[in-house]
Amino acid sequence: MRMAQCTPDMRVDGKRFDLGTEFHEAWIEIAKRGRFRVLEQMARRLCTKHPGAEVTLRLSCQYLGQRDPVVYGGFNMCVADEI
Amino acid sequence: MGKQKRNRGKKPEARRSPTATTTPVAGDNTAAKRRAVPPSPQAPAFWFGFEVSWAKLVTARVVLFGLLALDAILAVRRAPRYGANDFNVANLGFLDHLGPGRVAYGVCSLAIALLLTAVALGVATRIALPIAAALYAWLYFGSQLDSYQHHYLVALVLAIACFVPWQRPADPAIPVRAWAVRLLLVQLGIMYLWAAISKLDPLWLDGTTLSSQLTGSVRSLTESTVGFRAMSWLVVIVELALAVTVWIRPAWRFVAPLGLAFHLGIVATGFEIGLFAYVMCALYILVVPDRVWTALGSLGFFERTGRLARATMQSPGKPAVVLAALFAIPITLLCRLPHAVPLVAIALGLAIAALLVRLLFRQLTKQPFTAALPIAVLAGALLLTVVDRSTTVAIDYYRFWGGSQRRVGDRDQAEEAYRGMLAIDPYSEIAHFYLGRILIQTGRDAEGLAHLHEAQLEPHRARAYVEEARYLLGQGKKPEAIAKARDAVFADPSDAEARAVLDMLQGVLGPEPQGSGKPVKPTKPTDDDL
Repeated sequence: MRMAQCTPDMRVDGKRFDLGTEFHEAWIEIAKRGRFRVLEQMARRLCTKHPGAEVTLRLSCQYLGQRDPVVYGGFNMCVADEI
Repeated sequence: MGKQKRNRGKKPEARRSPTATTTPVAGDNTAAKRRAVPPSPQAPAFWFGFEVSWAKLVTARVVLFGLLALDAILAVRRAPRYGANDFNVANLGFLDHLGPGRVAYGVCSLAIALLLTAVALGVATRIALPIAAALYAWLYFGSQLDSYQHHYLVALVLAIACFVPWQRPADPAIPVRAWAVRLLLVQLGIMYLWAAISKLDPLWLDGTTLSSQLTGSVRSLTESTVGFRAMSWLVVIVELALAVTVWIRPAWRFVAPLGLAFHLGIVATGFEIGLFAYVMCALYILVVPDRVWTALGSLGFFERTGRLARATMQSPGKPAVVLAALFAIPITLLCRLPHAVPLVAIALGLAIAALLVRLLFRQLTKQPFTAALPIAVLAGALLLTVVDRSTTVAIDYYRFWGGSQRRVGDRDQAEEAYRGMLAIDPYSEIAHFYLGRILIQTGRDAEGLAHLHEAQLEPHRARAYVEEARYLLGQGKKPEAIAKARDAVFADPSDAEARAVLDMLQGVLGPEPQGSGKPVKPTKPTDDDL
């Protein structure tokens, strides 16, 4: 059941990164369902492609039946690669 | 032993062998010897004493594997997402770099379709089924792209099915002992149990989850009858009931209609799970009481069909082999799915090689020379072609490939995809439009404009005119650009972009930011891509 609806906000050196330019839409859809490992791998990929850059991921997930969204991450994924 | 006797006493619908532990296979010279082996008194009757009628087994084989073969062909349209831009996340970390790419996914899906067609026909089941199961497991455990639970269940079903004696026994009237069929049913029970446990959540039980999932007529029906809360409870109760009863033979007469109604209800919801709901219905062939299939099998139509199929598959003459071999490739040439022709050629080559080995070492293999293998390949080729020609799978494959590559900025691959699409659908507006854009972006203006003109032949679509208007503006040809923009508005008066470009060119608005003649690559997918 797809019970989470997430909004990933990936930034490279503070600049918002359009995931669609790097990853297939199917992966982005999976990421929007809150699949952490996919998002972590996406961040890892960006860290590799942009050496030395700060890749931050802020994931806001709205879970079914919960009023307030839950926010994950927000830190440099190239330093700590797990949400 | 007592259990075994009790179990046997409850199945009056068919004659059974008093001692058989392994059902003899037609044409197997060792069958008679194997038949004489008595069952081990230590063998648990629950598993090793489980018997099903041949009529049921053959029906399940044809329907289940036929459906899975069809599903594998339809899956080819999803191939372009695999390995796109060299990104993959597997279900198991160490498989990240070993997951399937576009070509591997497409080829393996078609190979699974060919293998399962052979299995459905009862040909080389002991070889084809394990290979198909291994390929299927690799595709769906090797990437999270399509990793829904039903794929794991199908992988497990295929793995267990490798141990079912799918081949016709010497005496079809004798029930077939198949512990693996019992295991399949127990596996179904476990699946229902887990499905019910996972729903023991306040959000499910109060109807919130179901109300967010259901759409269309099933939603209306639920709202106007029992409501989402009651329906949610009903689903859990049905799943628990099926978990407890689906593997118990005496309960089948009640379980079969309940389970079939449940899964047909899921079909009616229109959930995007491919043919899985139908695959579940096919598995219920194993739950419908044996006497139903035995009675159906004795009807004139089914008996004649079965006899004809056997006569064809077992035809001993070399002309049948030659005919099957001659027709398989020409039929596949009509199939537009990528890699279909080389795959069928390889399958045919392997089938003929196996026949030659059988012919040369007849004394050693003790296998009869029949046309079954090439006929199975011919049937597979026919299935590929019919499915391709009656669906949009091949066109979707190229469309999705072009779209995904275009979005990640790989123009070479996108161009290849759209050229492939035009090869099978020469009038495709989508392919002409995007190919035209790519060609103009890469400096091949004349060819690109020619494709935009082809795209403009599609009535009521403005975008190819808009694209040309922008190109002309970039070339400094403003009057021609205005004329094209007018054409765009005329083609589709409701197109906001066409209107905006015309207004901009006529000076109503300020200059358009991208008037360079080199269109900007969109990063969001459109309806053309998904």
